[in-house]
Amino acid sequence: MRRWVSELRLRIDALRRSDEYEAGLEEEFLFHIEQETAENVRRGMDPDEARRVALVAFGGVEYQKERFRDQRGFRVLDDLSQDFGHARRSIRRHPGTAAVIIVVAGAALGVVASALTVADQLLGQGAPYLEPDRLVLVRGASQTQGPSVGTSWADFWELRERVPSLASVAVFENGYETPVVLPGGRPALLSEGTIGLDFLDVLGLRPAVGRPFTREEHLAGQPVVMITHRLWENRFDGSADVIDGFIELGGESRAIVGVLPRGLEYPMNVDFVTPERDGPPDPEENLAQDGFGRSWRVYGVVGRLSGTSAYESLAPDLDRLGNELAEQFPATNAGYRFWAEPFEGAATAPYRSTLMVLMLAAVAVLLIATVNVTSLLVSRGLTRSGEIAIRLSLGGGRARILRQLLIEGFLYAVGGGIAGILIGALLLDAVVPLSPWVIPGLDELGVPPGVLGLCLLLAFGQFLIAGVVGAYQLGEVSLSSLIRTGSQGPSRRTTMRIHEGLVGLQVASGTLLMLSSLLVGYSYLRLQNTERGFDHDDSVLSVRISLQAPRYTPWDGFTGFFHELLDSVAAVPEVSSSAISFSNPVEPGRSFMVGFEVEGVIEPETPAERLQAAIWPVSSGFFETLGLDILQGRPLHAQDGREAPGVVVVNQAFVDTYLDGVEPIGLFLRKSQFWDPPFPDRHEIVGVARNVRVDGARTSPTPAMFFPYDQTPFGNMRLLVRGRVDAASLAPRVREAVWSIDPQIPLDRMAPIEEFVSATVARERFMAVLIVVFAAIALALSASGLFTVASRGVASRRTEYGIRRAMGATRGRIFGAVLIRALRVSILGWLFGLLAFVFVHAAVVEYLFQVGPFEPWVHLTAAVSVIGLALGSAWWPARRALAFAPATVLRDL
Amino acid sequence: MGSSEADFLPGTLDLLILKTLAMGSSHGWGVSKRIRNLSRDVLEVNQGSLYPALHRLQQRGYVVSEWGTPEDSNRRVRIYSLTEAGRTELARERALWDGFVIAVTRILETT
Repeated sequence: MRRWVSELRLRIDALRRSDEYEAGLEEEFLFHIEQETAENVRRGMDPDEARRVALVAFGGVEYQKERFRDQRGFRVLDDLSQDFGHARRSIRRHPGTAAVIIVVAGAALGVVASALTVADQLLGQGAPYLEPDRLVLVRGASQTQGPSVGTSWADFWELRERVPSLASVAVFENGYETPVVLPGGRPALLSEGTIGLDFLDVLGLRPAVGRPFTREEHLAGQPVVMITHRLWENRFDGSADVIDGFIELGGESRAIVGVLPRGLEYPMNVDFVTPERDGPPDPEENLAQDGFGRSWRVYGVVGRLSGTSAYESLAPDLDRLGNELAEQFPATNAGYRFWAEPFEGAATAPYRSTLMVLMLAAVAVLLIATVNVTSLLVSRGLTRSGEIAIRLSLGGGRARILRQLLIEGFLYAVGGGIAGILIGALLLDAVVPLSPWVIPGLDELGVPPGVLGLCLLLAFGQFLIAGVVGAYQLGEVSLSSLIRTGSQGPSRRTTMRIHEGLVGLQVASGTLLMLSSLLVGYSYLRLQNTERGFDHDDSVLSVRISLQAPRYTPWDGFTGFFHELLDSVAAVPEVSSSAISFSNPVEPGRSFMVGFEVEGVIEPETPAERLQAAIWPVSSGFFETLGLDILQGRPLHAQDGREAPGVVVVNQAFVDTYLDGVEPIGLFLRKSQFWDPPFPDRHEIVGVARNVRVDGARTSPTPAMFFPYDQTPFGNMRLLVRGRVDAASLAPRVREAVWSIDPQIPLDRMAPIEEFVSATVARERFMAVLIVVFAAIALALSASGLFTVASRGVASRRTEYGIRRAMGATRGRIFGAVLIRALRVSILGWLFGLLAFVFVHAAVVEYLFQVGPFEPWVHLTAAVSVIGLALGSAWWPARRALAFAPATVLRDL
Repeated sequence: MGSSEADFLPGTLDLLILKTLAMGSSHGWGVSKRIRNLSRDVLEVNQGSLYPALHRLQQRGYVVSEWGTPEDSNRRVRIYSLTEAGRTELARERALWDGFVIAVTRILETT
């Protein structure tokens, strides 16, 4: 250490001495020249001649100073500040070009920054799981219930004991909407989940605040809750005081003992959790049928692979257990098996293809901008080749000049990087509000530090490339070559060819991006305009209303309240019709499947083998309020009450899927029953409704059964209201109507149904807008590249054009020559872009909806745009080519 | 550019500078003049090499310099003198040079 310090001191001393030495250098040189002159005079020359000879012999004071410095150690440190100054002045001398370079670089870096921020936010959503690659999610697949279902408690118990490759497992249950009262008497409708014993331990997580549930709390099912990080931030301002608070749930106060760590939205998208009661399954569960017991498959299971087990060894273990259980409990487990998926990546799987497209786009834009920046810097270098050649001949070391160019690039990189981050933030600001709920947390987050760093790094990379290409050009600069070729610099033909090649590359990337963005944009429009099957104009309002247990009890409490509510809402003059429904048709993730059979058509031997379809309790105004067409038979009536004959309306998908050409009207349907008599379990099919795309436009419609609400009451419903005015002005009137009956009812997610429709394509919209913006930036950059190269081409052919004009070439010929050069480059670029698209189109296809990758009009548009781009950017340079008067040009020769 | 008759062999410039300074302190021009005179105008020191070499020798501690005013000029100039280390170095380089010359001569005189 000390040695190092003394060494450093020596070096610094040497540096200082060098400075002193250099300060005296000029004086010493002048003395030298003086003496030499005097000597020459003594030899008989006249004084002027003597001095000239002495100067020539010496080689110029500045030249010798440069050479002196070249030989000195520590030049780098020494000259750096000088070079920075030079670069700064050089940038300041051409503020226009500098601004263009910084904006071009900034635009591309902004694109990259915003793409990376989106990716970072999407991919980085998970909680800080311990060894996430050892975590799995165990799911079930049932022949009757579907390919991806949960696990029953009894089956979970077997999983826990009988799978050697799983070290530990825990259950969780996702999402029941539950009315609660928060501390301070605030009523709210929250999503409740449960977590089983060891849940946090399996994941390797600790509560953000407070403590986890204890073993005793799990065994006894004690009245405690943990809230999620999201709820903690939104409703409790992230205050640690929350631990002393209580949530009132079903009339019972539950102590908040802890806050779950951030990022648990996957696998659990809830607001708070209660401890899942742990203990061996009720022996009766092994025998229970009819959708309960072993076939009550509601639990999600997380597991951690045991020490040495590979992920591959899990599947055989699960298959073995599944087979054993199927033999042991054929009534419930025949045709049921377990499967597992890696935990890591499952959360982000739905985004991956879109992110891929987005990153591809960002890279293309970056490529284009790098080419542009390089071309701009190099062309600036070329216009300065005069300056550089003079400095070279004055003794400026080549290395020194190169370094100055690189430092100039460095300053540009800093400027471009900062501009990029600003532009990225602006871009996100502009795009995020279009789809607020696509990516949780994106609106408040901004560009993360890692992305900032990466962008600056990319900026430096960009200008390093530009610098290296600049250096290559510099290699050809010398005074003699400059004198030979005139003011346009050396090897004009080669440089032009390089530049045209680069611009061609730019057009190729632009084409690739344009094709992708047109396809994605068009696909989005198709998706947006998909027929949803019902009339979702802006006059329909949807509200979530959930009835709380001690206040309203099944079933009279439920039906009584909702009847009163419908009467009260119907009395509002602005309301044209209203209904209650299990869900609004486009609300994501809300469906309830029950087993059914159709007499004479589908009759399984046991209730456990029943097929499943979505159950939709709706009131009689449902079809009218939504404008949902009845294709056959009749809608539900108010008379279809509890004690009236059971009726049901099914949708077309139900008929197509299950009834196999049998006339549906008049068939009788039996459903798995939660309601005791006199509620009917046997329903006559009285009508067939048009399909509704429940989960957005991408999925095919699910078979659904619409039962009269009075025959299948639920406590957690949606109020749908169609108004004579728009939904927004309807909202306060509806709120009044509800609260006039019960002011304690929490009204949740009150929004025009159009918003729900729009939300189903929010992610697609977000991506479509981003990629279209990216493509627009790419095209603008390509245009500027084409313009630059065309202008330079015209400038360097000034003499040629002048001569050709003098030789009698028409204006049209010269104009055409410039345009054709630009066209040639663009069309070649377009061809390469098309070729690249053929190679990468698979990445885009995955993302397209009802649009093929080779949609003719998309490709036609792209081709026409490229030609338009070429003509547009070359137009002005071409006009300039006409302005060269033969006389002027020839005079300059 | 500067050198006229013959280029110096690498390393010989230091030797010549040390030798001329061994004859007495001098400014830079004096050194170059002495070399020119003593070699009867055969060797011309390139100024671009002379001053960096002087500086290099000074950095190594073989030469020291101080500001002075020679009689025939009113200009301040650096006067270089040889140090003790410089004398030792001169002897060492001299020996190397002699060995080199003998070796080259032997090769050239082989028939």
